[in-house]
Amino acid sequence: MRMVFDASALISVSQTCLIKILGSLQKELDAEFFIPQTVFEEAVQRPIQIKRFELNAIRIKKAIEDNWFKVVSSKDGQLFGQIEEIANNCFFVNGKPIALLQRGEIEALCLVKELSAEAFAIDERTTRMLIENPVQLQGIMQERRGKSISIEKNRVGQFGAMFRETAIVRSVELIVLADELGLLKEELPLGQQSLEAALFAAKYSGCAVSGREINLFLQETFGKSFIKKGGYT
Amino acid sequence: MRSAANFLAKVIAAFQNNDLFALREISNNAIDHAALENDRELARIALIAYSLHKLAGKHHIVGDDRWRDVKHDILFDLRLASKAIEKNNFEEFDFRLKAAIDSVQQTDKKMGYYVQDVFEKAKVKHASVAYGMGLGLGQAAELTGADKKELLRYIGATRLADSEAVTVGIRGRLEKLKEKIRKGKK
Repeated sequence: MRMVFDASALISVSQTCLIKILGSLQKELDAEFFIPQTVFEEAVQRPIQIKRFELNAIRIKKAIEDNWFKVVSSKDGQLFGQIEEIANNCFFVNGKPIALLQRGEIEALCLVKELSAEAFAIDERTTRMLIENPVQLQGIMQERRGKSISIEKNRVGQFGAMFRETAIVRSVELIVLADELGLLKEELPLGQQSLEAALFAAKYSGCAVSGREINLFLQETFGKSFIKKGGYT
Repeated sequence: MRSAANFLAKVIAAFQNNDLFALREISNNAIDHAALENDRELARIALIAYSLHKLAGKHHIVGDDRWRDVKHDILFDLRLASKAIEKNNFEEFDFRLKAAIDSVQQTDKKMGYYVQDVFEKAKVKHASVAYGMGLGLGQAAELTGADKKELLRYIGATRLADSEAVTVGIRGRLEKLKEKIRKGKK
């Protein structure tokens, strides 16, 4: 199985100090994990030169040196241009297109296609929503911007179709999978509390998942006996 | 550039009059417009307005003997930036904005209490607003020059994700991933 990582998923997993479980997952699943060159630059090359970000960058760099991840560049310029053109011309305000995605996200999407990756790990919500539910994204933009946003239905349809077969996951799903495979115990003691703590740590590190969604999942998993102790703030 | 000129004029007036509330309002409006138009110059003005609002709101800074000169220097550069943009002299506009930003950062470095200066914090805060408005993480970070890591951490500390409806839940995503893993093993 091939999985491409966007910077957001990679960064939030490494910030929770759980990057090691990705290495274990990669081995356990006999999978290939890929990082786009742009993401490598954003997550390692630049931050490693800044004291405040150095530690996290070292963690990711080590994960690459340990061959858990392969750094690859997108080679299909035409595909890159096509994805960029579609993604950044899906929504319009006052007749002008809204450029939603940037080079890093576009290169990651490009690699999903080029490598025929089965899965795409991304923690930020815009790219994900553009693929899965562009109408909801339109609603968010309209509500927060207080302006009417028009949607180019053909383009969003085309964009969604390009990635329909891809399993789009966030760091929280990777943490749950690692837990189910017994890999989380390499880092944390077994049990509901560890899983809950790891999922909320991912959320607080920027993974676009709601507290309600995590609680619902934990309730489904551990049954009605799951009682939240206090809020999650 | 028209809206950048209008916002800059408002920033100058508000800073001159020590109107902290206005500075904050201008900053918020400017970043909204910047995110809408993907306008980096306007984003820079939003960051300056926010930083000035923060600096001018700190007693230990405005009470410092050096503040008067600092304020004079910042206003001097902002006024020249304003004149430059009126004449479409973008090079001079850029130079003067950079000089004003440098004064803000130096002031915070010399008189502030925190390692991360107020301008850097403004970048992250305003990028999170742009992300909240629907821009992708990279695009939002690029708009203000924020670091993606810091932006992610900042977003994680907000209730942004809690206020948005779920497209596919954890269980649903996990099932699709497992299906791919199973197919891959066959």
